[in-house]
Amino acid sequence: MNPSLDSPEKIAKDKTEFYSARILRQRSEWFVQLRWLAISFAFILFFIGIEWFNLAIQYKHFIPPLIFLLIFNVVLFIKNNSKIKRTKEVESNIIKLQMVVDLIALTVLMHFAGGAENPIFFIYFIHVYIAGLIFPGKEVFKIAGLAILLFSLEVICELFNLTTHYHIFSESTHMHDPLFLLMMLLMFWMVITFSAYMAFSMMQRYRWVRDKLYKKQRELIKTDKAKMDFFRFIAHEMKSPISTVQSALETIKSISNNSLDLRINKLINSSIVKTKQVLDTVKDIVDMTQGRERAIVDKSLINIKKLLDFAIHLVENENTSKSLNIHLDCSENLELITQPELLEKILSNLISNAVRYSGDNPKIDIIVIDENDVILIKVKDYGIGINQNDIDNIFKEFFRTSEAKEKERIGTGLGLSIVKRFTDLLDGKVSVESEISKGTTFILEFNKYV
Amino acid sequence: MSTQKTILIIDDDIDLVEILRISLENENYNVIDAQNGNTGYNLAHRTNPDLIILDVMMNDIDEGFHTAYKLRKNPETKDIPIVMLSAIVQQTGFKFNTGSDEMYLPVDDFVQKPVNPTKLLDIIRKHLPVTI
Repeated sequence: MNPSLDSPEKIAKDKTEFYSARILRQRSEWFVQLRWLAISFAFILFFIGIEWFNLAIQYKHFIPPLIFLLIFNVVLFIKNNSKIKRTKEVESNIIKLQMVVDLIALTVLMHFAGGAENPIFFIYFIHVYIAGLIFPGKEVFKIAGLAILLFSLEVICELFNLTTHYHIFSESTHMHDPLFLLMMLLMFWMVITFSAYMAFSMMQRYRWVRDKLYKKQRELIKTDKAKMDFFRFIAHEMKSPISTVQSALETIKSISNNSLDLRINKLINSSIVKTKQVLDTVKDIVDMTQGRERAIVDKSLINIKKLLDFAIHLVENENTSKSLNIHLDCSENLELITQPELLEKILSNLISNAVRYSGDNPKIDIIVIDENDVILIKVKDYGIGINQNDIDNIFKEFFRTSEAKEKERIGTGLGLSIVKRFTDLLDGKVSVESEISKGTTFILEFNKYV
Repeated sequence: MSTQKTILIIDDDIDLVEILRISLENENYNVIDAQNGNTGYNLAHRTNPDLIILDVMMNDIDEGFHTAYKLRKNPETKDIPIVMLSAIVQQTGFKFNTGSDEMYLPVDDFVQKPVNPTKLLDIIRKHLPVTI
């Protein structure tokens, strides 16, 4: 597909699904994965702490909450993998429930593993950041509030001996020092509130910028389409009258049979050339603007040899003044699923290009190689070649190399950009190998059964 | 003495019809014309021309194809050679399907627009051999 157009379209599409049930489900799944990790990590940590460092914590205290988390996670995992569709609200509530359960479980674990003595309380911050990332709006402050509530409750209950304090190390006195605990709580409140605010404001800013971007991109796509439609309309409107003018001129020329004044004859001839030039440009613009719709609609199974024969036949018809030596190497029964009109245009453009830049008796080799699922079509000429510096530009619209201009004064500079555009539309690839004054080979690559 | 052949042109571009008329009459063909598919079909049915020049795109994008199918279905007109005027892109879609070609091509020949009178005359001569 056309890269310049597709990326904004794709992003714009994602945008509409941003808070969809599907996206929320994905986050929920991510959460579950994260929890597997956290549970395993907690097991390992407590095991190491108890077995190697002889910490004062006990298996019997932290195993039940971890087992509970494990069961909770298994249930979520099964629910997430079921095919049942849930609404956006249900998905969002499931994520909130997970947050609340995690925070409570964390508090329980912390309680049995030393309370505020244990640096495990840093994990509260992780929850606040994640809440900031996942939820739009002020949801993050609720999670921060819950974290503050749970942590403070734990510390205060232990301070006033409402619950037992479990030591992580041997007896430490400062855990009963109200001043120390007050300072600790204050710091905790401050940092967690600040974190929540930072996460909230950064995400808000990010979302604002992103929404602006989507809006701009949608406008851009619309403008681009309007522009294309306009070009196509103009080109279509011009095509038919110019064709008629050209037919009229050709008729005058053929009927008069050179009986006209020499100067008039010359005028008619140059008018024919000029109208042809305009008509070529108009046709190229029509191709340029309508390929996109066509590629998507009717792909069919086509015979490559037949299509190439036809493309060669077209080019030969247009170049009756030159003696062409076009050699086609292609097996009879090779087939390809593609859009025939686009592929025909690609091939006739490449062949006619090879003819134009090859001198009076052009020799052109067309080789079709069947590589299992891929088909390579090589169009090789022995003409003027392309300068290495120009190779990157030849597929750009209206670009013509100075050698090309010297060889053929007239040209729209659209032929190869149509080749590139149409090849992209057909999900193919086009590449070029060339050496100045030795010749050029264009290589097309298509998957057989896309 | 050769009998004068009649050619029916079905095309909504009056100027093009006139241009073709000049070339064809210059070659001593008798030219009649119609501006749309239906009138053209009726005229063909009535006058039984020797050859029909048919534009693809008239009021509808594929009016010419429908007209060609209708002409081919009618036993009285089914043997009249039809030369179709079209842009290249309109032909290719019909030509390269792997199915039977005749199913897709109800006409005897194509001439690309813009029409080159010399080429058109060559094609007409191919389908209308001179009878003495």
